[in-house]
Amino acid sequence: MTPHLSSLRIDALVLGALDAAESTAARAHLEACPGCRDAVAATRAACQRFERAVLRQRVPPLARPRRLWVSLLAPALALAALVVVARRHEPSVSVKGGPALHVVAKRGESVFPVEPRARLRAGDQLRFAVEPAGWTYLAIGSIDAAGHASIYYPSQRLPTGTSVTLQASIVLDAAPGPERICALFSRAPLSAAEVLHALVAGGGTQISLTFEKEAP
Amino acid sequence: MTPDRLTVLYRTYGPIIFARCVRLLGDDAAAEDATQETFLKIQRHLDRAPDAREALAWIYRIATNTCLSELRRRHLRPELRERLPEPADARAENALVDRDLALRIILHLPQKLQIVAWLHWVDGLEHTEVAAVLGISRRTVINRLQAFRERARKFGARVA
Repeated sequence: MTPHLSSLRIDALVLGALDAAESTAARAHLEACPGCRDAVAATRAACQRFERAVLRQRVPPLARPRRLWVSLLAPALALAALVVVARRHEPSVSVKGGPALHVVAKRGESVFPVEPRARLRAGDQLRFAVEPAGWTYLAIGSIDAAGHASIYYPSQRLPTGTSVTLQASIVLDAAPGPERICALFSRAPLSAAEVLHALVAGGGTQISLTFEKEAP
Repeated sequence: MTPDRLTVLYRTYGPIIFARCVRLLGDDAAAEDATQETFLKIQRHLDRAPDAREALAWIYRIATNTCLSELRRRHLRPELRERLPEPADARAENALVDRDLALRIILHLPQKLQIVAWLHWVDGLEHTEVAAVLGISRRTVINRLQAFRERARKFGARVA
């Protein structure tokens, strides 16, 4: 049997970056080598996880790594509780006659609306609801104490309705200090770079809410 | 800054770099951070980004260095869950021992030697592949591997 495929060769194969002869040789080796076949399968699976979890969120590679998780799998019960709380309370922040942002936190079994300057903790799960007031696209991001911007929710068309609860939620990481959440409204989709620029430089129609994060 | 070029690189190479980081770091969360860190570095050196075929090697080097830094930070021995060969015979068993031993000592040697040793012994890259990824000559690769062996011997370790 020919020598095992190197990691680079496996990655190039999965990427489709090998030339015809290299690709044929690599595939011939895979026919005979279960270990390398497993490695190729594991690489493909990891690529698919990344495409599902990150690329489809259109999170750009411009924000510092944060341990903030976008969870699309919030339990149905928690989701229902959050929606109820979001609709019962006044918006967390709003612009008179303009859009409003509701932020709701879940900590253990307790669910509560997040007011400006609220003290949140690592592990708190946040969900968002907005009243678009005619705006058709929304992006949500944050800026932490170090000035690093992250996108939680890429610019996407809002469903129609006076109040829209977003499906995505985030879980706060352990980085301490104040953090500002911004909802950026627009009438056309914005690129990730445009959203990040607006978060850092201000501008556009955006409403923000700053909260403190306590150490766990 | 050229966001479009960066976005293209991210979409093209992000998944495979994430897969590589998973292999080195052992879990998705750390790999996602390392992937972001890798592309932050790429953003800073975007003007040096090579085209097409050479881009993978360039990004591979940055990602590998990022993961090795993380491993040094953690002082963890990485797990090679997918790439360890089955010790079907004595020769393979020796290879397994040698590989494991290489992993243990790699993180204790100078960084310049670490990445060469890692790519060759852990990732299984041939000398020419290591040279292409690092942008150095094959002779330099061989010299650094030799230096690695000598350092390893000083540790009293046995590396084939």
